[in-house]
Amino acid sequence: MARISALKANFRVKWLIGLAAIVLLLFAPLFLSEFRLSLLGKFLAFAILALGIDLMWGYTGMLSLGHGVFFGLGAYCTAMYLKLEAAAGGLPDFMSWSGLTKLPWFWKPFQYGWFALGMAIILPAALAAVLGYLTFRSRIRGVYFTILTQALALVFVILFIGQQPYTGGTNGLTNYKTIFGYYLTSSSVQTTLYLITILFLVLTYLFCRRLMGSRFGRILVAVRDSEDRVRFSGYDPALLKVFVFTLSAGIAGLAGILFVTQVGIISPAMMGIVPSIEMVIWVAVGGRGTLTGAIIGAVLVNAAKSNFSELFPDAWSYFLGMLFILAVLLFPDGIMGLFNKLPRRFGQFSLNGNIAKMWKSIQKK
Amino acid sequence: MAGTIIYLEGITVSFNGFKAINGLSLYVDYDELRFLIGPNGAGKTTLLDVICGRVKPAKGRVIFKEDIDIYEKQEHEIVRLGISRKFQTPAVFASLTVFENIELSLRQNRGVFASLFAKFTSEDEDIIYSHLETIGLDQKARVKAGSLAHGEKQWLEIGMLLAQDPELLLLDEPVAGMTKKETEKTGELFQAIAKSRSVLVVEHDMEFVRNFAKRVTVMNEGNILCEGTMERIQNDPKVIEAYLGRGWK
Repeated sequence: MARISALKANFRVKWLIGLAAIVLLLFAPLFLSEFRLSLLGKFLAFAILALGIDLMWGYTGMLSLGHGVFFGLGAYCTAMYLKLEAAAGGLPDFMSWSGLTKLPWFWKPFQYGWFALGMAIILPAALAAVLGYLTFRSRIRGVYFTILTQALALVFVILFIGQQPYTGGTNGLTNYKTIFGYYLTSSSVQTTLYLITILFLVLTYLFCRRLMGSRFGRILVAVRDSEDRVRFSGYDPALLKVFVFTLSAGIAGLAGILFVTQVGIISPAMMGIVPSIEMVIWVAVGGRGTLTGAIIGAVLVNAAKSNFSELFPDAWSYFLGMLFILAVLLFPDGIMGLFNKLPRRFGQFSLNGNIAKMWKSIQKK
Repeated sequence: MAGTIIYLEGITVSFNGFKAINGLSLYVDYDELRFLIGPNGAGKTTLLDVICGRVKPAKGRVIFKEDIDIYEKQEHEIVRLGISRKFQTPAVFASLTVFENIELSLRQNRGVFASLFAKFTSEDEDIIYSHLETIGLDQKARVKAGSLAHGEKQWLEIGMLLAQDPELLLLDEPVAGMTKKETEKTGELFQAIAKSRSVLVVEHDMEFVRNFAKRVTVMNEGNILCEGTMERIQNDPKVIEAYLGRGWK
């Protein structure tokens, strides 16, 4: 009994910590500079992306090294709309520079904001669904699947750089003015976008949590443990995996929307192999297979990146590589794993137990 | 129920020209406990693979019950028909609890969306616990399957098969790695299962086969050598040659 009530208290404390974090984030606009706030907004958009990667990698055991593509597609769809709004009925600037005189047909519907935002999620999801169906149907999995996703990232970068008149080439899409008529540079719009990002992060988290708490979530873990056993328990692992991959890509697209509106640029350099690997590192560092870990990892690694690269611009990638090696060698369960394990190793107390005790003493008073 | 639950006729399986199974025919009856033995490389595991759809035969037909042709079905569809397979090395979901392992194996709607909105009923819980009692793991319901002992994993997988409520169970060396006592218990469990289901067991443990088999099929070099009671088989000169011949000649 005592144990159960301790667990319950522990559970409540975890929610309280989460709630406190959300409140802190909500009040951040009051004490952060505009620059820092937009950075934080970017990290939170990345946290959404990390949740999607965690569903796939942490829970289902499929490592995608091409998530930059899905993220990038979401961002590009949004950026197309922003560019057209900035052009105000004319041709986006880079198209005129490249010698186009007419808006390409596939750009036209993106003048409607809701269409663009819809496509920002549907397009990456659809790409993942098709790719996943072809891959998983033919029982391609593990490292072969990973290599395929990496090739995907490479192909898209080459495609986007090569088709400069339509995609803005290496420079990508930037120089936006307004979103639904509001000036992106105004601080109230940026604050609103930041708050929307928090809202979507919370919603995505709750959605993933609900999903992983269902029987479906347990089946995903089962796929990671023994795909054959899942198949021979009467489930179709290919369909399950296509579903998760699609979902994960859709979430990446959502992150892309929130990213581009706050950062103001999307270019092929942000969707290639290197950023895709970085995304996986966030989850690895935070602790794969835990949703909170994915969020913490995304925010912390990116915060470290922006601080570290301000100080030593050239050394960041070495530092990141080292972080990944450390994560793999020393704390394979990431920061969340450290939380749960280290205290036990260095003495006979556990963090969770202590929190539970604290909670109990608070209740008594 | 009398009659034949599964017909295999003229099955040939070849891997890059090597015929693992060569024109084999086999019939298993309803509610029968059948043992399949034979020297290494005889094609026993491949035969189970053919029945559960993992390997598609180059020639021949597999008919389940009266008229269901296995050839056209995918593995998970075959499971839903009522054919369950246990692997040689126990395959369980290591990071899920014993209870959850059984939960996922229950006969239920196993589509993607059905599992998204699946409700867990107290009836489900009762069924799961009854399976856990059958395999003697009810005390370990909340333990992660990965931390079970080898023999317990074997049992858990058998329990998962039972939860699927199959009509035909295919068991590949189910008592490998079990102690003598565990083996004994498992044999009794199989006899109980075979009262209402058909069971096809591949086994190397001859003592186990001797104690529990009524009918034994001996395979050698991709075909059936002979079939009958253990006693008859032990005295069959062809069997003796297949088992001893290679080593002694």
